[in-house]
Amino acid sequence: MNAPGGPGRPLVVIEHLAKSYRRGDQVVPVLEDISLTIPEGDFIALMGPSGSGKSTLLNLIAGIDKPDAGTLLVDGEDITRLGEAQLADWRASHVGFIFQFYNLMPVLDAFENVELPLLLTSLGRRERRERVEMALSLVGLADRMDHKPNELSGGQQQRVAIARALITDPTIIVADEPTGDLDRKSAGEILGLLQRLNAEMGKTIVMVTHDWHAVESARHVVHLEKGELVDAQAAGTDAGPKALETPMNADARRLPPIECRTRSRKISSVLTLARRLDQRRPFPGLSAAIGGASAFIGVSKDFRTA
Amino acid sequence: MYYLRLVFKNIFRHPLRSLLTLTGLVVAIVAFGLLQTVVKAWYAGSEMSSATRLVSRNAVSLVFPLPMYYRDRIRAIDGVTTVCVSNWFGGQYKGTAASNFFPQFGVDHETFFDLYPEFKTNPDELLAWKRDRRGVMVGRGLANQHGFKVGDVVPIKGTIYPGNWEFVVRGIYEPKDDTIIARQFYFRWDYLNEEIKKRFPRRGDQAGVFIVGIADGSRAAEISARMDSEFRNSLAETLTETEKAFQLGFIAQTETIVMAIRLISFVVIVIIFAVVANTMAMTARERLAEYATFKALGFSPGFVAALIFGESLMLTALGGGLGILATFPLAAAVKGLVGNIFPVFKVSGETVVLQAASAMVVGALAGIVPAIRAARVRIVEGLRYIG
Repeated sequence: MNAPGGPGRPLVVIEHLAKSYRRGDQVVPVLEDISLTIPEGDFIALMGPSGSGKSTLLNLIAGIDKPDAGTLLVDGEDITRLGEAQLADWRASHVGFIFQFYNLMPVLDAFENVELPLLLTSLGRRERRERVEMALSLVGLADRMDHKPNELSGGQQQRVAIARALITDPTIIVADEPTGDLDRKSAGEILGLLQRLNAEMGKTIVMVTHDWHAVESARHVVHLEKGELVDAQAAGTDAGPKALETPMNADARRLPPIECRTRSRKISSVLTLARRLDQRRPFPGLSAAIGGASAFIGVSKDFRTA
Repeated sequence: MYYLRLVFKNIFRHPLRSLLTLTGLVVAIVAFGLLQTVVKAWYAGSEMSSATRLVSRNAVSLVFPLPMYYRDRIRAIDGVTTVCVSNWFGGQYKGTAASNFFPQFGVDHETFFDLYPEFKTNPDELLAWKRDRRGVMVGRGLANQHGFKVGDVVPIKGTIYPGNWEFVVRGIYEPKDDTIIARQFYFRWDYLNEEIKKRFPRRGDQAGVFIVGIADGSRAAEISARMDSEFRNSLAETLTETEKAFQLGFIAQTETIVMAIRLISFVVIVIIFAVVANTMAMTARERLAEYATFKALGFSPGFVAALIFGESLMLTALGGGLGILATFPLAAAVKGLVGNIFPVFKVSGETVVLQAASAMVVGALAGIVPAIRAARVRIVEGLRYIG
């Protein structure tokens, strides 16, 4: 079943994917013959009852689990053929993770948590600092850099996790119930942020959720039931998230591209920092920052193509 | 750098747990160090032995004397340079309290201090001792303990040689360094012999042992055999051995105690290993979700294992370091309490190395299993784990 058509070229191509788990002597099938294409720049919500296999599908797309059968191409690369070490390198440069319980390192402050993925790159200390500061500005936490997770609210912790997911400019962001542990207001803020990452930075997002409000933030929703795709349709905002009045960044600054230590592919990423603040947004300065960053993504893509 | 900072921060994540584990480590390392120092102190007497000194005693038992005339026959043996008679006196000073005990010997005043260059004497005091039949040379440690000074009369109550004896302090000898025991009381054998002849005529002209100086330490075995053959089939056959072997013979009598102390010192390390291993196992278990997150972000299993292993090593290095530092003042305090039993109670370099090695071995062993477990955790399972 080929699901939603999307805004760009196919980024994730899944064909006849199957996965089962062993419980004692029993083999429990979780996913059966799943085929799905996720276009670049799409924002997919995976829905389904507990045990339907949505988290398993997300884990497979993120490269943290391996299928029993089928192929899974991300950006043209069949990740099912990668060994453990290669897969770890691939995740470091292609996948941004957002977890339900944030999964921040409690002993590290917000800055250090966001910096973590950059330690696997060849970036120097100063460059890392610039990037982390920018990413935390993007999520509206520039003034909380030295706060430990336990000094932040749930919503703020999730924003730190989003900054961490963004920091290497990944190909795809996977979010496993990102609002599952948040109150309604914080959940709204997080969803708004994800929406903007998708709409303004062109980030491809795959999100598992039970929350119908969350589904409305996505471009498309995919339903799973008993390990099979049962439906794929446009979500509440068919034309994508609401058009955002994004002030483009006039004072953008460029950072040099970074290279993963563990692989040759360059994670070309030149984020720009917007200085204009848009007080109407939930996070002051966010629109401007994202606007600038989206401009950068264009540059980044050009770089990759070149 | 980032790795070390992360490891260090993780150590103090549960301050109470870390504090308790560190306290245990410090106590264990101190206990290990002190027990090893006790063992060392036990062997201090043999450690100060010289390769060029032999001790010849009655082959039947040390409690039986040797005839004094053996001295001239021993002196005539090839390779022998000096012969010095020595008698254990075994008297009591100020009653029977163990704290007042110190070893007393009647020795040849002409040769004794030539045989023991590790005892530094003042030439004037030495001369005064040689001129005074009741004179005694006391070690610096003993003089300090009892406040003896030159000119003092020291009354001793004889046990092996009953009666009241009086000696006059003529000099105080100094140890060459702090590995040398300087708590002995050396008086003149000829004074002892004269008094014995007066009080117990049949016990005169007898030597407890002969301390024999030889020119070449490598000939010790040959000369010992030659000496013993000299007196074979006599009424008092001799048993000659190196001074070290002679001293170790005394320690052998208490070997079980030494063994027990050694064993206890290693049991302490095994116990602290169990404590640290438990701490690290708990630590790794409750952080499985974090390790899974590290791996999801692209960090290698080796990095995750290194986090645990490094934490275990850093914890024990910290505890070991503090323990080693604490050992020195505690050893000094212990020496103040048991100095008369263990005159040389010094934490040796070897002990410090053993303490450090024990701490690191404990750290490495305690970290291995949790590190492997954390490295092997499947990301999907780890992320589900609620610690």
